[in-house]
Amino acid sequence: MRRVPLLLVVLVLVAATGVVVSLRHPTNPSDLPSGLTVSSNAESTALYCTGISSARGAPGRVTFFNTSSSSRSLSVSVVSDKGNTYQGSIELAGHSAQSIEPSVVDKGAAGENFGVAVQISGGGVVGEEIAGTSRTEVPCRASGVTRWYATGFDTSVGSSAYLSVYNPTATAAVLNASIYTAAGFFAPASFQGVSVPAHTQTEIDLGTQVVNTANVGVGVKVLRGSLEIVGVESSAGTVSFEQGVSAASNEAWLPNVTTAHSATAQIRVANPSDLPAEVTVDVALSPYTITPQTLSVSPFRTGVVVVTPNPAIPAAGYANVTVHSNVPVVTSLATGSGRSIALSSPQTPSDAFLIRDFTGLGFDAETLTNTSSRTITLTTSSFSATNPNVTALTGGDRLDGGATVRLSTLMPSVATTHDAILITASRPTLVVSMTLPSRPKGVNVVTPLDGR
Amino acid sequence: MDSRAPAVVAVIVTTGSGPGLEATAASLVAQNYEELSLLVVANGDALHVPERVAAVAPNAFVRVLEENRGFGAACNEAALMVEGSAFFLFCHDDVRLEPDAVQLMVEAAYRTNAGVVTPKVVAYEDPLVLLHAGQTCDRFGVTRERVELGEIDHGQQDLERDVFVAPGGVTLVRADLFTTLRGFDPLITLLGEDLDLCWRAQVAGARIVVAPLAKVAHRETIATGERAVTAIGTRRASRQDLQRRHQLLVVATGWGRRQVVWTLIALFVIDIFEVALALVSRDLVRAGAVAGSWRWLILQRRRVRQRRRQLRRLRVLSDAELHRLQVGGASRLKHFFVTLVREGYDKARGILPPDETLAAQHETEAAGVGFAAAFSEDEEFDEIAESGLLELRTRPSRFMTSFRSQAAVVAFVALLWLIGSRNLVATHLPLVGRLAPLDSWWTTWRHFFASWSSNGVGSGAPGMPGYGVLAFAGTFVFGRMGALPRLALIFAVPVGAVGVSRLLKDSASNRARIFGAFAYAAMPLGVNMISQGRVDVLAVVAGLPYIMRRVFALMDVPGFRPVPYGEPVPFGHRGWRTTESGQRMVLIMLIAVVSAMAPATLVVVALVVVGVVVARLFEPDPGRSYRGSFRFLGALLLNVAIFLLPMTIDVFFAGRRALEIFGLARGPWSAPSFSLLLRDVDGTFGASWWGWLLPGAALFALVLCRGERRLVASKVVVIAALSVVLAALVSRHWLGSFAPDLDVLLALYALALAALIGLGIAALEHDLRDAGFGWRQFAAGLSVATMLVATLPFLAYFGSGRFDLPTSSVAESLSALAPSTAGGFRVLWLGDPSVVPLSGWSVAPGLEAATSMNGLPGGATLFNSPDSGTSDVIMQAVQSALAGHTVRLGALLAPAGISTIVVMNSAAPELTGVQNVPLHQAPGVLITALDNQSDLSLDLQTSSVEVFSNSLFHGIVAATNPGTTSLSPIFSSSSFSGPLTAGSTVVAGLAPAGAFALDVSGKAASRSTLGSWTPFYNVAPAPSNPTGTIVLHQFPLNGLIALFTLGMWGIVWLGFGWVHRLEWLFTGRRRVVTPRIPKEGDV
Repeated sequence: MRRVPLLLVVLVLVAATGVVVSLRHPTNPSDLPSGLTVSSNAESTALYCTGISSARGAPGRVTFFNTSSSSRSLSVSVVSDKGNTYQGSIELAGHSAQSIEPSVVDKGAAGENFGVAVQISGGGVVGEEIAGTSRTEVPCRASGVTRWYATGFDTSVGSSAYLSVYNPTATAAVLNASIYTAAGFFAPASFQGVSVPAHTQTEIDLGTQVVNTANVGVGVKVLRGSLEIVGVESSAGTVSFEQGVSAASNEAWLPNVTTAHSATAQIRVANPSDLPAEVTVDVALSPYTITPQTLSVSPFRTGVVVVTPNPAIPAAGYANVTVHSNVPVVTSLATGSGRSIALSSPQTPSDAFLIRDFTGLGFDAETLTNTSSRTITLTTSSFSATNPNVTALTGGDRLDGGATVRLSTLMPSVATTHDAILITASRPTLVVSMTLPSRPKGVNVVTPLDGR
Repeated sequence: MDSRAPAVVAVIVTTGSGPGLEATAASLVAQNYEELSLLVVANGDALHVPERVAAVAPNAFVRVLEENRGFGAACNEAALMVEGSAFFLFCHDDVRLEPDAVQLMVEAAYRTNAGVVTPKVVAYEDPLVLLHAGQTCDRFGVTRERVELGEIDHGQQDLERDVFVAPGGVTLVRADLFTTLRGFDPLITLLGEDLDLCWRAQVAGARIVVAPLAKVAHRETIATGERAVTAIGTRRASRQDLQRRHQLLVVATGWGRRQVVWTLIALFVIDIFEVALALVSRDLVRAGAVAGSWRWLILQRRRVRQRRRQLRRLRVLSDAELHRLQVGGASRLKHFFVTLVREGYDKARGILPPDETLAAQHETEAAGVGFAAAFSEDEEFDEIAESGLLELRTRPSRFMTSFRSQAAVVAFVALLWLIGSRNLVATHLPLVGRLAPLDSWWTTWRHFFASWSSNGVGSGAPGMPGYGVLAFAGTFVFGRMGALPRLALIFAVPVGAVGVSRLLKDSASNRARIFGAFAYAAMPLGVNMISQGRVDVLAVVAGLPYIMRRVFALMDVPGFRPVPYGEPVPFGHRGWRTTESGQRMVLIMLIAVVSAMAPATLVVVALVVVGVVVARLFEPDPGRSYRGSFRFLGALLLNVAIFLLPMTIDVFFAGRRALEIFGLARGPWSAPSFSLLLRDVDGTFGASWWGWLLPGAALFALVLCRGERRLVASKVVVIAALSVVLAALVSRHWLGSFAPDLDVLLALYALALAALIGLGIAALEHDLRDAGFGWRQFAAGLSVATMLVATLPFLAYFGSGRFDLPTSSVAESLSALAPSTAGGFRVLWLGDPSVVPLSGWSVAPGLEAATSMNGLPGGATLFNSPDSGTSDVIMQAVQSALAGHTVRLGALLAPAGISTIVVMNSAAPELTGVQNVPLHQAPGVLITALDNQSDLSLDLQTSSVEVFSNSLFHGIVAATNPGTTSLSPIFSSSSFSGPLTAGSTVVAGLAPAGAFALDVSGKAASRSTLGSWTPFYNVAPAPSNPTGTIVLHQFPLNGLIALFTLGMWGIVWLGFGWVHRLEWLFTGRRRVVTPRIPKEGDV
């Protein structure tokens, strides 16, 4: 009788299945696909923008760009913090752009902050909100968030910081906001259970609870519904948008950190976890070799690493900064000159980015960084309003692992074109960073659009 | 004439008063062996020994030793005094030899070339009672008698044979062997010296033989405690101490290098077990003896090394050869478990080395058992003879062997079950699982015959056969359809348990069948399915054992067809049912009925057939082939498909959704882990450690089976493996859209485990007795214990009286959310297929979409055609939202009249301390997607459910007034009729569009679809106040198909002899029944 082989086969079969099944832990997916690829064949999409202000006579605006070759109908809804709502529609031709200024729409109603919701029949339309000073811009989001983190806000004298919260959905939302500072963590009662009715916009002023404090981190948990949130920092007249992240991470890449004379550049870190974070900041600045800067951040607190001015780091243009941490942290880059600062968020590695000059000022630096150790292949193409087809610019350019390259090196003609450029990589390890022309250089960092 | 007999020196070692010394010496003097010299060694206390010896044996030599160093040392001393002797005869001072004993032993030594010869030893007081006929021992040095306690000497042991141990008392040893072995080990003062000498003799290649014709009576004054142990170094040691430490010494030195490590480890584990038991029972003497033996061994490590070196030089037999001479397994454990099973713990813990318990048995023996007792008619005699140390094979346990005890146990368990389900009888059943309230008997029949069903956005697919089964079953409860789910909840598991008993009918005893049935009832799946309201799976739980039995019988699995099939009989005649064709038809109908409730049964049947085939590949059944098995399976499935014709048609037209008939893919993140699957758990019951007990018992049972049971067990274990492997793959969604209902697969797994347990009990009764003692017996004991423990958690579940079936459900709590508008509405239910309380279609793994019309799910939504047809618009809309392709899901769903979207994460709300329900989360991306929709608003959010309302809802039937584009609901929600506005356009969210017409004041309105799936009707401008009705215009093809199917069932039913029986109906005369004359060989 061949019983042992049978039992053996059965045992091996069951055990192998058990091992294979147990090795993979299925997770419940919670993130929606996003980006241009998804949107191109969509039935309908939406864009949500907030943080746009009419303050100081330099009203912010939202620019929409149609990446598809077909025209799109946009149903625009503008909501002011005074509760006024305006509806309108825009017909956006293929590869064309159009801006709206909410303050103009709301003229006379004295609204100061606005939320904009756009419903698009079809997909492929992206939006960018630009501050009135044209010195900061962030992309509009295609969906709300339920978790939001940001850090680096200043509420010291001459500065103000608030969260612009917009509820574009039909569901009344409720949120809890927590504050992290270098001194500790607290959750102000007035920031708990904040209700944001459907289709309304509101602000959460950090300065009402955190007085005269630098480097304030914020964590928002949306208990019900989903929200569009943007952090707005106003520092000595300089307004900047902090887009924030939906999850803390162990690594962050900041390829264009200025080391110019008279500029300031700080890596601001918040630790939203209950474990102490050991943060290492690697600064790559060719041809110098710079000792990594380290920082310990206690749980629920914030910390800062000064890159510029820093006696250990020479003033030699743009440094490529990488932040590593043993526990997930939230990172932001604070740049400025003198007393003012501007905030920007690190870019999440992706396999596609869309670059377009929404301010009309052009870019001072446009860099592409490969965050992995493996070589990736890059392809660039451009959208032009005059050409219905997407024009391939380059193809098959290789970017070595860990390397950073300027877009102008990769594509010399980029300086002369005002078209939108789509950069795709063979692997989702690409980070694109841009700075606007400024004096000193590199204090206005721009976040590119996700090109997926 | 000089004697040519070899010289034998008899050495009597006497100690203390030596009450039998004179008798011993006298019996040696009386020997008829001429060359016998007598040497008496007075060991220590020599008071009057020379005089006493001289009185009966004047020629004997007496050697007085100053100290009592033990029996072995005294024998060694005597051996040194003697030269030229061929044999030593070592005697205790409490023996009495028959006059020819020495001669017979010497003859046997020469005849068999034995190194050691032992006589047949009988009781001193009653020479008819056998004490020893040589001994054997196991690898752990535990000696085992070759005679039973109190065995009467009928000459049954009078066959010269090899034994492993010559028990002390009288032992004839060849002098040269004794010298080679360096005599007895002086370290062993008492108890165990015989084992040691014999073990070493065996290792040296000497034979040890029992000469049964040589008879010696032995008082065993030391072993029975009649005389105190006085040897040096033993004063503070009990007999147990001495025996255990000497056994350990023998084991530690008697094996080769590799074998000794394994043996000592095994012995150590066993000893730990024994110490633990001894401590539990406060038997400190035993615990101390066992623990002390290891301590003593460590202290004697130098001597151990020395002995090992000596034995290595002598070694002739390898360890393997030596072990072949011993008995397998562990004798001590065997006695323990055998007694535990049969006599209980108190008896079991007393069977270890002869102590008070054994002494007491001896006393009983001496007092009550004698020659006369052998012929006693008193039943007590048998009890005495069979108790204690007897083998299991001599008397299987009588526990639960009588009909009365079995009936009592079954009745008790049935009573417990009824108590446990008392609240299922009359209290409210929640809307969970498949417990949606059934429609009336007549309406249920109508669902079966219906040309249109409201599922999804409406379907013209044939009615599912499940409605036919329910309606047919409803006939037997006189149309009280509400009773059916209650009956299923209460009786499905017991019916299944009875099925298990029938499954094992020809493979196991009644007792084993009862155990198997109880195991099936105790499997977590049954209770979990009750608590989840899965009536469909409970139907499988009830029917599967019967199906498996018939499949086994038709596949000729050994033991499942005890009676050959009857002679071929024409269809419709009596006896046709017993023919092979009839049996096949019974099986097909059975599968069809269960499959109508849970189509995944077909997969399970296929697994059973494949399991048998696979098992036969490895272990062919004698005279049976696996060829043709797949043809058999194909025939089964084909016939079932014909019997379930409406469902078959649905599947045929379902396209890519065809496989969804077997079940919808569950979310891998909420599916049971592999560990839970192995425990047969999909729910809360059985998810703790004790859930391992029944599978563990089944595993043990598996290894116990032999012979025909083994063939069956092999097949069952392959089936179990296939079912659990398939369940694991399905739970991870690795088989694509082929996702048979996980719980149906687990039902097969539960059945296989229960069958294995039943077979295991049968193996305990039969096969175990044929096997040498070892791990099998250990496994047996463990499996019985685990089975008993595994049933205990049930008691906790009896408390609720409803097996933790929730008292409230999520769905019912939502009844207030329904809009009270005209035109009717639909609710879209989204969630994991395991928690959505109605039948629907798969959108993505872990996401089922189903609709209910005008409120909560009901009897019309129990079964669903896999052909989604037009309802795909709903699935596509949801998929579009999941992919981020739309933010206007409400607008996409509005044409279907969907007012509310319910996302379920559990079937019932979690109420701490009140009801505990498993959480099966819907895909997280679904909530994100719904949150992003601009036309949906979140109305309710709990951990169990999220409810979104559709702001663009306009009813199922709506109209646009002339000159406007906005839709307003019209018509009654129940009859789809009511007043209309002249010149308006009516849109109806009813599919298929071509099947419906709008009757406006008796005339049909013109219809168009405008590129949509919804029909648009243009109401004429006149008359000014028309009334309209949406009517269904459909050829009743579905009804004809249902009628054909019913007719087919009826015809086949007539085939089971009813044509014959009802012949008089057609012919007008009764048939004369000719009595059948039994043929020879008929059963």
